[in-house]
Amino acid sequence: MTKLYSSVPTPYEIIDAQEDRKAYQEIVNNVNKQISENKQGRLFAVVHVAGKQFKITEGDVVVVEGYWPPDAGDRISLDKILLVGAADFTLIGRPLIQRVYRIPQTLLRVNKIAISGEVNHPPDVTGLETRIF
Amino acid sequence: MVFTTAINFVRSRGPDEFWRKRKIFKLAAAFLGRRRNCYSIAIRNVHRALVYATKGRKLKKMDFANLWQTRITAGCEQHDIDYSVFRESLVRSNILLNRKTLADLACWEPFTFKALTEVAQKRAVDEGITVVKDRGIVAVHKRGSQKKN
Repeated sequence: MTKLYSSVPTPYEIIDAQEDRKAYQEIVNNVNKQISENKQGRLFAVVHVAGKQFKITEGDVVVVEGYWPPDAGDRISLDKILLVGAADFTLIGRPLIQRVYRIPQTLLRVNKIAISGEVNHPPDVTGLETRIF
Repeated sequence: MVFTTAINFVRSRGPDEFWRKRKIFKLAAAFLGRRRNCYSIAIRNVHRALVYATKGRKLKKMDFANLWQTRITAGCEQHDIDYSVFRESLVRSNILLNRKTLADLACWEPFTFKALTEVAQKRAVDEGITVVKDRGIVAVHKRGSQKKN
């Protein structure tokens, strides 16, 4: 775990990282096995909808207050999941379980910064006679 | 004898009094006794009711936050962790569950809540987050006669 703020020395020491990794990998394998055999049972989830968090499970009816685009009759999937739990395991998201949307990023290279025309004598521009601003 | 000018002395207050008062009586429908039937009593109580409704919107949020906090504290005590340490550690671990959800889990999903307290405990140990202890009496001001000795 990365320490965000504190520089206090930890009271414990990691002796064998491999063993720790093996231990937690075993837990993950057990969870995956249960899921693949469909033995996990009823799942519940904490989902983030319209700025609020709801703890939901199959068959629940939830009231979402405020402006929300989907109409009545739409089938939607709620993707901002903070926590999923079953009878034997819990998946805790930090903060979300899985990143579900990608914001498009564009890299721009700045080639040149220049001042065109003299200060206080800007170049004349035509075609703006009909503009109101 | 027909007094044709007398009718001019009748001053109409306006035709809408009935509906103006009906607006108030509609809001006072559930009140007790004269408060729902007599206008001058009803208007006072309707105004108070509306003021209470306005103030109550904020109080409702505060009340629920307090309730959730009480429930989470109770759950934390059962797992031997302090509420403030618990919440701070969760935030630092990037687990952003709010009080409503944490209270829900504490009530209905005890194993999940236990897992969260364990995560918080480990993080608290890592970061050195501890309970703020009482600082006790800082200064004592002596009054009355002070014998010089």
